[in-house]
Amino acid sequence: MYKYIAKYFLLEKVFLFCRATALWSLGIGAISFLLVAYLCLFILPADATQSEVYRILFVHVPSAIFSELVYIFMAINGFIYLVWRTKISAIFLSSAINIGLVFTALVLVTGALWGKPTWGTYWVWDARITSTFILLIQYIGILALKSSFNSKETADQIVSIVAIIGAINIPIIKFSVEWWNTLHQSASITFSGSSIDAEMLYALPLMIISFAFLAFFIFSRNIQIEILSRNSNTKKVRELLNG
Amino acid sequence: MDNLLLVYACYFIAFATLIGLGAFVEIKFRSQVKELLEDYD
Repeated sequence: MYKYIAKYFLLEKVFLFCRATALWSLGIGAISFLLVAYLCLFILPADATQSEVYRILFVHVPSAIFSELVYIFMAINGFIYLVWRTKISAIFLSSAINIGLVFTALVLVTGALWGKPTWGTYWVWDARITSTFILLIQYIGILALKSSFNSKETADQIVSIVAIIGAINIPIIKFSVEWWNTLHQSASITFSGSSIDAEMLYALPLMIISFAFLAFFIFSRNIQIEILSRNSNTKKVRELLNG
Repeated sequence: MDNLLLVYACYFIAFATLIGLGAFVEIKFRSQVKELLEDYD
């Protein structure tokens, strides 16, 4: 089963797929972001209680979702790498770090800018915000770790282990608003429904999709950079670049 | 009005950050390809 899946993740195939899709992903992501931003800023009605400030959530929530999803993706790839020693998993892990770092920084910055007019403060050390801040430190740490080893293989192993151990923070972030009494409100969207009016809610998945395209562009370029730097002397890479 | 500026700032920061990182990796990728092609020649 695993071998069947793995044959689709040959470095060469992944490189060619990234090369074919990267710029399309950037174009679709950038245009859809601008269109959805126009929708969120100028078409959607103001909120009854928060007025205009609620519009920040269309940037804040997708950033929060991706900051956690990217980390889960990294931990899964770290696990696969440690168990099966597949090069591509280590490449996926390394290629996702700076994306997760940027999304986590964005969620903290947009959250702070939303918090000032809503809560009266940019920052409080409550459980949700603190655990997200720890996630930012984790990303910075992993990025630093990755570049602090001469051997790529050692770096991959250490980064994988740290990513797996650090994944404990993801459920803490998710359930922090339920486990502790926090200033940050609990989830607005659950399996049982949403507290956001349908008139505004539909813009959220659109923004998530535009974020996904932009993230995929960065991810695919990172993958190409990793593949080239790890295999620069091989015949296959020469063929890929000349082909 | 102040709050609206804050909202615009958030969208700008998000877009500029993602496009900025995209531009950074694109430049890094292109220079890496150029360097490798020069080495091969």
